[in-house]
Amino acid sequence: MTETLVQFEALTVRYGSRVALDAASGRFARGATGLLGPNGAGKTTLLKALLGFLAPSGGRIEAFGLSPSVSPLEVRRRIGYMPEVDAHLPDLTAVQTVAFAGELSGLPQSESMRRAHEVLQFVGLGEERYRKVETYSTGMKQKAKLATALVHDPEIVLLDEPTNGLDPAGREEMLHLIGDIVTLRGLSVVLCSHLLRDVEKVCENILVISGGAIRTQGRVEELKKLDRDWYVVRVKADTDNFIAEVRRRGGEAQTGPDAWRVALPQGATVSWIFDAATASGTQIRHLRKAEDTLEDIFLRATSHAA
Amino acid sequence: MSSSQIYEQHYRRLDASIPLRAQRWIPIAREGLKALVGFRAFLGLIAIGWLPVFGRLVQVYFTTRFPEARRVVPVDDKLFFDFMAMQLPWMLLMSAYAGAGLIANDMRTGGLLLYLSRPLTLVDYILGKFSILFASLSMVTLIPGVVLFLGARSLAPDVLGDAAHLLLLPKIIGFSLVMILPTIGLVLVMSALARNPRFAGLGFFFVFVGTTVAQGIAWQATRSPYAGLASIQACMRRVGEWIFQVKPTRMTAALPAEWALLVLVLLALGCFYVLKTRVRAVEVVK
Repeated sequence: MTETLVQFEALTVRYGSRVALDAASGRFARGATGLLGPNGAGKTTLLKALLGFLAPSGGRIEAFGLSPSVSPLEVRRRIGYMPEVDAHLPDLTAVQTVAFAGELSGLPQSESMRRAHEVLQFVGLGEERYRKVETYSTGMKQKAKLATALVHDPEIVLLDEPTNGLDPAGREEMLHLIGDIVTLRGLSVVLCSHLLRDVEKVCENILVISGGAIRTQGRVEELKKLDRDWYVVRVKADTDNFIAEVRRRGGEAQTGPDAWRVALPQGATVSWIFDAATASGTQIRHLRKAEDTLEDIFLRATSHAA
Repeated sequence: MSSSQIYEQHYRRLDASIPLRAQRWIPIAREGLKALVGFRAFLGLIAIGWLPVFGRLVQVYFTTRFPEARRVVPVDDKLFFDFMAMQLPWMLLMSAYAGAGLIANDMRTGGLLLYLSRPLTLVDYILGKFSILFASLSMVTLIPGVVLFLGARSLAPDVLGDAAHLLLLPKIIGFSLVMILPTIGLVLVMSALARNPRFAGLGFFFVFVGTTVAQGIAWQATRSPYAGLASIQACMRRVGEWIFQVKPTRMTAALPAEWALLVLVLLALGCFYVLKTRVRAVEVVK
């Protein structure tokens, strides 16, 4: 099992009478973790509890073995946070903003300035680093926020909707950057998003949050594996007969976008499908083992909350 | 811009972990002051705020040349009190100029999140903003007052050279603090309440002028010396009169200085409380 950086158990956070996180339990392991959930699911609240902005009204949360409520400064020193909303300082250039953020994190002034230049180069704003951040385009602002989150070399970077407002090229670039941070630089990332494709591209672990609770979590590869053997099947003709035969023999069948998904009965092997086809007087044209998509996992997880 | 560019850049991991800074407010104060000094209007306000110092020094020099003039313009505690009290309008102008945007701009641009997601406490943030204003307002109150004292002492050693007059120094410092601290509290609160710095500045002036108007109305209606407690300016002035032991003005003559001081202390504490509540609320809601 990979090292756990952040762990929360029965975490409850309220905004007045409204429960934003309801006994949520989960962990962020080293590497890239996707925090998936629809809008208002509690993703940002979880990040804010992790940063020590919000005190839990129940349960506990720990980062690096420390409680953010008890040692918020120590926790924030080791975390980089890229908020969803605009976050820049008026009248400062990108290099000034990033250097200032480094200093606020405890870096000496000269080291902070040097790192500001480096991370701005890294995120691809090297040529534009002397421009005021408020004059940047949305994509450049997102990159500047990423540079600000990275300047003090955190152990884990919390990215709240980092591809929001970006055009397809900008989005690809941002996802490349995030992937690079994880694979080449060895930082851990929590990618908070409602865009499944973004998460699938970058993350090896996911947590699905909905209605303030964690609905499912684990390695993407593990979650994609199905608990029964499902196959994607296309037959030559008379599909209805085939499906009726499958069901008569104790199998299960579901319609898919362009083919049927067939589940074998317990103990059956793939030849069982051929037997069903022969019995129904048709031929198999296409057969492959089915796998859940992230969308399936997400929909299944969030439908529990509905 | 192609994504391949990214991979050519390097990102260096730090060899050691960064220790937590002890004075975490210092970068905030330094950066804020650096930004203010970049504005000519700010420097102009400071320069104009120093003109009375030179005027008073000329006055002191004049009395050394013509000692009989001291009967009309004596070099005593009142000279310094009058000087400090006259700096008040400049101080208010400086407060509105330098302070109205300090928190309002951070709220407007989301800069507050940039601060608060760092290893900083709310008190560090407020202290950093406070220091910017403290340094700015000291430029037109405390520092000119001290310079005036030192200049006058060197120009008229026969009058101010004795040890007893050294007490003027703590008096100047004390009155400066009485003027500066509640003012900083009020302008920061206004800045935290309004996202637009202009509204924050206007609100600040409205409160200052409004409380003075309220004092005038209360005085006309009741003739009570306690009417002065309604005015921030009157309270400051009354405490200043008490510190310098000068004759009070008619409207504040019977107002107990302790009460005036209490009002100012409560105002400063109230402002700090509102700041903590307001800045935290934004942190949670966003």
